Amino acid sequence: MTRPPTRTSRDATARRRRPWLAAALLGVPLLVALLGPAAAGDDAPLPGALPSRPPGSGHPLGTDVLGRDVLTLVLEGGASVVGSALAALAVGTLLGVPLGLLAAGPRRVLDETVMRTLDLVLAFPGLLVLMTLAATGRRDWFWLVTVAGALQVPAVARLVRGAALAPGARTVVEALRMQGHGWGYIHLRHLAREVAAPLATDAAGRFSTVLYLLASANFLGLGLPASAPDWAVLIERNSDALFTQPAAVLVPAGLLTSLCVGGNLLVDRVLARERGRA
Amino acid sequence: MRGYVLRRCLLALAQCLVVLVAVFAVGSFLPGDTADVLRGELGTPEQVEALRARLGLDEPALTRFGHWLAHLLTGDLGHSLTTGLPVGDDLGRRVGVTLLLGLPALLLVTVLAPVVGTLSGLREGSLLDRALNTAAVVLHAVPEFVLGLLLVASVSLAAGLLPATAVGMDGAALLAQPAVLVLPVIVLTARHLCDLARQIRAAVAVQRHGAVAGHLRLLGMRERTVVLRHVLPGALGPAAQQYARCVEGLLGGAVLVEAVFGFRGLGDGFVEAVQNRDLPQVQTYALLFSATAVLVNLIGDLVAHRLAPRREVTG
Repeated sequence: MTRPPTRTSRDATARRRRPWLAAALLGVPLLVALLGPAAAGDDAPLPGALPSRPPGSGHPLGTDVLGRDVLTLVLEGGASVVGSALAALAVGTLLGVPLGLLAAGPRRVLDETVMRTLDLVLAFPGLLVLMTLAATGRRDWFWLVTVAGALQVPAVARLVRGAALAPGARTVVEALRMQGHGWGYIHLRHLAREVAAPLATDAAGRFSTVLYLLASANFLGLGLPASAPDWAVLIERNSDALFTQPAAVLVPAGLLTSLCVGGNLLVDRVLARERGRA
Repeated sequence: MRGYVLRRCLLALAQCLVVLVAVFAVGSFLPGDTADVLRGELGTPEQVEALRARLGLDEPALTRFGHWLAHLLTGDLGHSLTTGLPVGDDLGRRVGVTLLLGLPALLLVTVLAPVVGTLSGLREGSLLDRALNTAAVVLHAVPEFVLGLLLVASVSLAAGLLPATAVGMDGAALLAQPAVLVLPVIVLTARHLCDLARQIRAAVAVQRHGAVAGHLRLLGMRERTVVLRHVLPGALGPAAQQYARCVEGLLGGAVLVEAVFGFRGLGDGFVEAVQNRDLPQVQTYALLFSATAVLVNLIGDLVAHRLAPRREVTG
């Protein structure tokens, strides 16, 4: 997707004024995800605890449909959300970067083969692939993360190829080659450094794409098991009791939304600043 | 021009082929094929083998692929493993519900996006412009199912304004009570409307200050004509691709929105088929969804190329 090439000055000042908003939106769910598991107690259903009770004594956020403490589940559930998104992102980067560098190499045939093959994969809507795989019984954490990561490969490879093929990069590579530096030096040290900046910006934006994909699969009940402490699973399990026990849905939904929106706002700021500099 | 069209059509053809092979593979190669699923944990390995022979799963892959394609071409989509009914029947019943959700959303996006995008592009920095920008960033991030649930919680449950679910309603019942459709259509529309309007806004803002528009103004052309006849068409070219993604996204979004609001449409059918591991049904849905995605993207790219031939529009 192309980014709007212009931004008005008024826009930019509004953006500069509120850096704390994006940081807070992103920071709160991240902190919950990082520190939550340590602070949370046992998530087993307490003896005698009733399902879907509104907030009250003993349970600051009430209980979920299985009679578990919602506060404990929320504290524990962030690690799974953030962890899987990061793992999927790592898979996408580990596969996409070498492919992109390979395509950017001197061999024209290799370039065409790699990029056209990736074009084919680009055609599939992500959720569809995850759903179809779930139908064959592949619905554990490992598959979910691997496939969500693999779906990011075409975009990452395209970006890396573009960055490595930039005119400036080509000239330096030719100079390095003439100086007698080997393939490894050029690709792993020079080009890796060249590609790192655009890759980092892209990864930040891609994080919310992956998060969105994984959360959607989990919400449809096609990912993690129904008892897993995960924000998306929690939302799905408790959405039937939305009226009697809204906290069990709204708290994890709020955290998930704040994570996504905060991340997007931050990336938007970084992109705007880069454009301003250019 | 012709070279690009040819290349793009070839790519779409190859994509269709990949889709066919992949969908076929899901039903027959991967561990957990139809015979395994039918037998479940109850069957002995011998029983599974016997069933595999009966279903023709022990024939060479190429032969089976040929048979499968031939059946597809004659419209025979196989029978559901859970109900035993032809898959096509189930599909026919559900199509109406999904169209009732998708078409109004598509219509809203098609009409509103150019209007909102042009207005805010002509008034950069205005309240409308800033609101659109913020809404686009936020809505782009909020998962559709979260937005749906938040709307249900606030509008339906807290304010008691609109119905929260459409559980158990078929196409005719929905038509008789269109209030049920309001919230789901809003959820489907919001994100795509913002994305598309934002893109049109950016292009309008650039083109308006461009050399062509300036020249036309010098020639004494009215501002309205400049915008409607010259600025807007130039801005719609790149938006055509985004529009194609939006049609594709409406399908994907339908899966989530139908799940939130309890509609029995195609998305719900897909999820149900996946949960029952009903492979013939899953294959049909996967084919339907991915063929639509390939086709819509092909049209989007070709239109974008026609409207703005100089742009590099691959991918």
